Amino acid sequence: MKHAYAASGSSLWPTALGLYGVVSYTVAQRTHEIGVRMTLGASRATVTQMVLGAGFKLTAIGIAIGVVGSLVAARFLTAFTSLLFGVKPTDALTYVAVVAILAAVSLLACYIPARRAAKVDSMVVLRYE
Amino acid sequence: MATAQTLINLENVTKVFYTDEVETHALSGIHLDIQKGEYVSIAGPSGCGKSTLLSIIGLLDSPTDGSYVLNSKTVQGLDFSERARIRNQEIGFIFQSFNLIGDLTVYENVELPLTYRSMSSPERKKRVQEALEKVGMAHRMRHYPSQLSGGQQQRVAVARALGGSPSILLADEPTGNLDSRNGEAVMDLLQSLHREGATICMVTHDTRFAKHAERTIHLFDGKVVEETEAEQYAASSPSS
Ligand SMILES: Nc1ncnc2c1ncn2[C@@H]1O[C@H](COP(=O)(O)OP(=O)(O)O)[C@@H](O)[C@H]1O
Ligand SMILES: [Mg+2]
Repeated sequence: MKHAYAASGSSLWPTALGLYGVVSYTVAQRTHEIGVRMTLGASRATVTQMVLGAGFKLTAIGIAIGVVGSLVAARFLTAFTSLLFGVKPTDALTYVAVVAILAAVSLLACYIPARRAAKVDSMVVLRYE
Repeated sequence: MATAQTLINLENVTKVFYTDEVETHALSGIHLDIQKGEYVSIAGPSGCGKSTLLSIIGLLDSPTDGSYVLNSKTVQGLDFSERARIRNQEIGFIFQSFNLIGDLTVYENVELPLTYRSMSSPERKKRVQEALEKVGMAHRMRHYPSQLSGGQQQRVAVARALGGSPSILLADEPTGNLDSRNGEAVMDLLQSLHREGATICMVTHDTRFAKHAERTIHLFDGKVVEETEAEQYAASSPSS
């Protein structure tokens, strides 16, 4: 069990950084669009939600692929790992814990660029293009 | 004089930009009244403060000094969300570069400002359809902006501005990115909206188009230097 957490923990940072990078990049790409939306009356809360929502979609897709992938891999690995670590790779609790931690870290990773998006100055965006 | 018919009332509005210790006095001591149903154009050389004035009228920016009353409501000093709400309900923007969102269809673009209100989906649909019919673009509802010509995109942008039944349409050089034929079509569209009662304030440096407006405000160096009335309107105006 411990080993499984350690393994997921060490892969968490690159995951969070990757997500942060992707969401930040998306926000930068969409700065003009965000400015237009604000001009039309989008509130800061609406913009924050929009960016968080897009980030969560990415996270959900990532987690789904990860879970399916590891379940498939587990089929092949069960024989070895249960011998080596005393952990069944299909341990439900491990899966739930890893998914929960990933979701929490993703929330944080998306929140920072979402906040940045909500501070876009629509006038500056629309003037200099 | 501000009356019940006054939609926009600016008193002694000043705008100073501070960048790298340089002060730019974009506007100084602007007095401006726009009545409901009026068609006003703002003219003047590049850099004289036209866009800054329009941004202040449209609540995209706030004056450094002076007072602004929109629809009998003092709007300076309001917080961000309050300004966003007023912008959404009272102001319809039309930009030189259309500013449609490329990932959204024509329909979704026109619907967008309505989604920022609590409005039912059937009501939104009705409004979007009406607005698109008004500009003659209803048959392009499922298209994306990139599939349309510049003139068509600007007509969709006009529909987006109209959909929310704003108190005023603000247009910043709406023909600036169009060839003369399409530019005239967009100007004719604004003209006919005005005849149906829309209040319009338009920035243009094309003198041909400025003539469409009832009144032209000439800006120079951030000040109003002259106001002229178009002849066809001056003749029928009871106040002159
Ligand atoms: N965000 C800004 N920061 C600094 N200076 C600005 C900004 N916006 C406009 N200005 C300056 O204010 C003046 C008026 O600009 P603008 O209103 O865009 O003129 P116009 O639309 O008539 O061409 C210009 O000198 C411009 O450089
Ligand atoms: Mg300008």
